[in-house]
Amino acid sequence: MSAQLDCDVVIVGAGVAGALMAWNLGKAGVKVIVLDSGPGPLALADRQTYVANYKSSGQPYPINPQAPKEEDFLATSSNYFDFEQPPKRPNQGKLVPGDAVPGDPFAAFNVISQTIAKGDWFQSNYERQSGGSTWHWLGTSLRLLPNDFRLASTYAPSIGGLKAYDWPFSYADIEPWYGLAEQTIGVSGPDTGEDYFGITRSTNYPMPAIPQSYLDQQFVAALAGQSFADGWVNQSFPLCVFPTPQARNSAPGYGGRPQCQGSTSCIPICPIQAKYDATQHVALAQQTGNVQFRNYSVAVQVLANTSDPALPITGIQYKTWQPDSPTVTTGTVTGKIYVLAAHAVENAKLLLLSPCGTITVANQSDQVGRNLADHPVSLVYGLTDQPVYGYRGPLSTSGVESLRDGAFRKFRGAFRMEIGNDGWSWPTNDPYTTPQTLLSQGLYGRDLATAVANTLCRQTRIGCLAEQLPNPDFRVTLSATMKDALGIPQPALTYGIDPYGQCSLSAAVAASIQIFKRLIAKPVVQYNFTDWGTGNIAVDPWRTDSGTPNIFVREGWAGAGHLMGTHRMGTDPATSVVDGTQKAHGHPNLYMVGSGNWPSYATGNPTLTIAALALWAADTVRKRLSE
Amino acid sequence: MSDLNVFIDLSKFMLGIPFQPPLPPISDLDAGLAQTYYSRLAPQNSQMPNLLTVWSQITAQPPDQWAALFKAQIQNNAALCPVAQQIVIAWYTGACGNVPRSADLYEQTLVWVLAQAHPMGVPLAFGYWQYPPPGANQ
Repeated sequence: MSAQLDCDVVIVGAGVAGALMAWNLGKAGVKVIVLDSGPGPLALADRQTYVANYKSSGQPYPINPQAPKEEDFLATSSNYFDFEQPPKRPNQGKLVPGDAVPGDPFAAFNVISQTIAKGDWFQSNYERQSGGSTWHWLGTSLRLLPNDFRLASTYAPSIGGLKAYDWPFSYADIEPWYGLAEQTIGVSGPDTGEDYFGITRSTNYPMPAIPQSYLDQQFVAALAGQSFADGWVNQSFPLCVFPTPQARNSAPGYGGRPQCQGSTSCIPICPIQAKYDATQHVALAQQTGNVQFRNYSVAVQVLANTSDPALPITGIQYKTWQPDSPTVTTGTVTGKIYVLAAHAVENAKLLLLSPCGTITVANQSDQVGRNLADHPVSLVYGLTDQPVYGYRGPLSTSGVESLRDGAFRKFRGAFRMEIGNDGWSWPTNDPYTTPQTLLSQGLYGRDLATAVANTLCRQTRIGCLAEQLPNPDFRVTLSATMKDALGIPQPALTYGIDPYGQCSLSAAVAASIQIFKRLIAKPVVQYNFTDWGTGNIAVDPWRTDSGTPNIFVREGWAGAGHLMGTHRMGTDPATSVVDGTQKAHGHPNLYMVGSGNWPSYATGNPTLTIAALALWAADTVRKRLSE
Repeated sequence: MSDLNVFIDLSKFMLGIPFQPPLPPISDLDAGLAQTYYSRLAPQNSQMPNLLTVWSQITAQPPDQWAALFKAQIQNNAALCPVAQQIVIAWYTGACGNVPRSADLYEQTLVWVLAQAHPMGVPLAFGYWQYPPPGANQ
């Protein structure tokens, strides 16, 4: 290590990507300093305090007074979002037939109005503390599919002026890293039956699969032999229910974690840490003796004191404070290599805050902050004829993975279907809402109890993660008006649903209703929308069946928490921010990790891929340092 | 009868306690919980004494008249009905009017019993979710 430098590698962010890199480098003898905006490992003993917070309010994580509006906000209240959004949220509903994308064979199931297609609030969020958003992730650990890495060259979608981009490597290239990631974060999964869409495995899962829930088993039985007919390509695709690979323990002790006890609160917090979270690797990184975590430290500028972007980054400037003190100081940390691991919104914000000659760092392509994406989620929920007993087990233990790829991807996005074990907690905040609703209808006593019991045990929901195309107009910029408590401009987000994603959602709703019709003999479908003026749920009448509804469609979309695309990978420096090694084009010592690198978004939950790529990047950086 | 005892008596009527199959069996309400709910709801509801008085008067009548009298004098009474509903919601969800649910009440709410689930956020045992709840009607 050079005497003038503070360390070998500076990492910004101690979430899953940053923690895995820090641990991997630290155990190889590399000196690492990690800047993290939130409280550090010592505060993590407070897990049970967080659990108590969850029980009383539904929100585990305390507000950090030094960075208000920048904590984890799982509340449905939009007041907590920490980015600049359009001042008034457009109504998601009152759709009319003309809102559908022209030519969509599933137009009757469209849930996106033309207004919100062009601009809506971004509905996903993130957490600022050591361990990052893995504190509240679901644990779903799917690999992306071979065609996900080559969407453009396989299907060449070109819809609404948008097009797809291939990843700079193939499934075969990333496959060993997927295996290592599964071992590292501890994934429980089935060793057979997962060879769909060309997925190959060179390693087994480190733990057996998590058992499918009783609820899942009713879906498996109902969907046996069923298929989904897609009018885009006049083809039918099987509806296959798969056990979901999950980073939670089916075996005691793996990774030092206990066996899952089915607490049914993976989001927002696992009370016993049976589910992987990155605090595990924060602790392991510390144990190497080579990694220093600087907590309550927010990076504010990547220093590039040159107009020549080919010259190295020279430091990271950050603001830091101590809890319970109003004093904020500014520091600089230096190393040979710099890694931004603060996720797709904060990485982009930091880069845009960092001048480099006449532009900003790593932004020769003008793609920094652009192509902001999520997996917009359709919510369809039903009351099955027979009890399925939700609110039991991990929040989701199965999904329909058989619609994640197909020739339809030339015309519309794919989707994956997540089957929820969590009743209607997501769409309606149950089990708390149903008693109130029935009580207001005049029920009391045994009648009320019977109605509540009959409703709760039949509540089921399907959430579909839809695939978008990159849209350069959906982006992170710096707010001109809003600053956080440290005086740093807040990210301003522009986001909406592109036609490819909108048609994915239409097809997803159609498939979800089809599935519920296998579980409900006399289906009555009702479309609901949220009136953002009042916050109330209202019925969209024009396509709602008459009768007592038992299948409910939420118009609009929900956030999946999957922030992607704002510093995408590619081989061409003119259209991408980082190359296939996750190094910034033009800057020899700047890397970015996390799903901001995604050139296309596929349908798989991103964390396993984030972990695989972080381990790959750590290996690359380690080799460079030893050269 | 003390106000608390009337509160418990009214709560049992409004909740339908005791629960018998096919509902998950519950024989009685917990007196400590009742004390907690009463002490949180009474200060914020000026109509609480009236509600308890009316219920005491109703229960002085033959039991076969209670349901009709409850409907006429409480459910259809604009002043008393909201208080009665708050009591029911407290037992179901732990939320007591403007006093939020506290973590210690969370696990004891009726919603979990009636869902035949254990409270979300509370560990139970590995793998139980692959089977229906014990005693469930399938």
